[in-house]
Amino acid sequence: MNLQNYKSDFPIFQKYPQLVYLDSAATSQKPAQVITSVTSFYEQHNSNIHRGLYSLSQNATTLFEESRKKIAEFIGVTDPSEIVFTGNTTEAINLVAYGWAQPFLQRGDYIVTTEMEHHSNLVPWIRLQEKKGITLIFLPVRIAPGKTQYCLDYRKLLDLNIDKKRIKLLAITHASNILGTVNPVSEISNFLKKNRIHAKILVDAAQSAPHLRINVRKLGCDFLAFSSHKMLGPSGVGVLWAKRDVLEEMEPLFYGSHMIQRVSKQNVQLADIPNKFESGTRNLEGVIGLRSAIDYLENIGLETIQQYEQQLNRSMIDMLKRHKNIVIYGPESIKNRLGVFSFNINGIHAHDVSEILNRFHIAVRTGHHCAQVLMKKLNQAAAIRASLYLYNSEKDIEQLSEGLAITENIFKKKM
Amino acid sequence: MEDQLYKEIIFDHWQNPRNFGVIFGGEINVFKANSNCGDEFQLTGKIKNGCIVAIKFTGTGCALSVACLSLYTQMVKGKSLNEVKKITEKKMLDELGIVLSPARYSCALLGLQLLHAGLLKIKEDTV
Repeated sequence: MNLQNYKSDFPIFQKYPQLVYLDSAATSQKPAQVITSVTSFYEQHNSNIHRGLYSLSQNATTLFEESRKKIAEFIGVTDPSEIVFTGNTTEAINLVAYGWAQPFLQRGDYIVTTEMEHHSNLVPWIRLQEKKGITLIFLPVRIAPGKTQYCLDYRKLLDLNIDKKRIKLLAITHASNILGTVNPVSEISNFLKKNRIHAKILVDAAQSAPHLRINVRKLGCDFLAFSSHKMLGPSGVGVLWAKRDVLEEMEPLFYGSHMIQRVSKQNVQLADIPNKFESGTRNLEGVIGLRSAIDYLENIGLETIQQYEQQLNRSMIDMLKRHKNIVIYGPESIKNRLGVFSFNINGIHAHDVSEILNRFHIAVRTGHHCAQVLMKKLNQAAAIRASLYLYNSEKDIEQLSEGLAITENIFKKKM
Repeated sequence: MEDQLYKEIIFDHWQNPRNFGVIFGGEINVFKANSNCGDEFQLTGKIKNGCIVAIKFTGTGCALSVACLSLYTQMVKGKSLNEVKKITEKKMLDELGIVLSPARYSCALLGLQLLHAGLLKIKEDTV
């Protein structure tokens, strides 16, 4: 299967034909269709929304709310009011932490998370532990070699000698931004129900939403958060989905315009959902751009993209394994993993590797990838990460291979 | 042609870092982690009569950071604090004579930043 022709949909690859972009886990490139939708909004529809009675404003409002509906449908949600626009996944998760967990959890309650979380789905809970006296429990990642290496050992939850009724939330990433491991969220959701653990489930879908078909009912979650910019959309837009009754209970984080029904000197009556959480002007053009990104992805077909990516993933793993001095941190199977590959070359620091790769226009990420708990578990200070999306090709993987070989030659001569 | 960044001197100081270790009980004791790349280093040293009489570094990081810390500690050892303060970031980079992207400045200048932080800490502690 060859999706090579889709690369031409992305203007940045015309500007930089030599670019080997392997950092989509950090942010994705944007197709012309999405870029055009943003500039078209400015050129043809720009107006603030929801309150103007003039045609331009009504058109802008329609475009915005149709985008909300489309985004709801994308994740299997029938009620668009359950979609709240934030600035990014981090803000969406913070909204759950401070709009739901902080008001409703009690000292002595438990929040369960995992060792493979990105800081955005970790730091808010650590702070709540510090400020509110809830206890944070970490489900371990299996490190020992074997079939389940780099998988989450969620069954460990049953070994804990705690009052399971006081587990109020499971905050879990759908896919690790270092390992590429996809967690079996629906299986875990059923596991919790079967064991009478009635915790709500928050899913960080920042890495998975760009690549996998998401359906919140099938996942069995109560909150879902993801970002536009990782799925071909503009930056500055994040999405929080939660069930209506939960959102209605939750407190907003920001107060001001748009999120009120009535304001007097003495009190405030808050607006209905989702407006309650959308104080101030949203990133209007960004939401329209995200809608355009979803149209683009669905036009190709998520399942088609997934099949293509799996082909590339296989090639990437095979390539990395051919380099004898490379250690991969993540499953070597393409089953239940995304195209996110973290690794190191023995004896060469990740930062030095990326320096050399940059000379060949190869863009990879290095460092701790905002997951220091996982990096500590892996016993690594830094790792190189290459991540794939639909605009990558076998040639990109070959070029990465050559770049890694050259890097080894440069450094090994001196070692 | 020699690599413009990974010169022989950089490789030499990476593989054989000078002043690598820890000095206990000295006036200089400062730690810094570069959260972007995972470099973590500690700088320790002794000051006598306004001079850096002993200085060592320890930690882990990229070849550039290790080499530049080695070179920097060589540069400052035996110098007075006034002379050390005159080694600005620009002078340090000029002295290194390597071609660096801005993203790598923090690797190359880590030693300088550590020592300045260490000296500031001494000043604050004595106030």
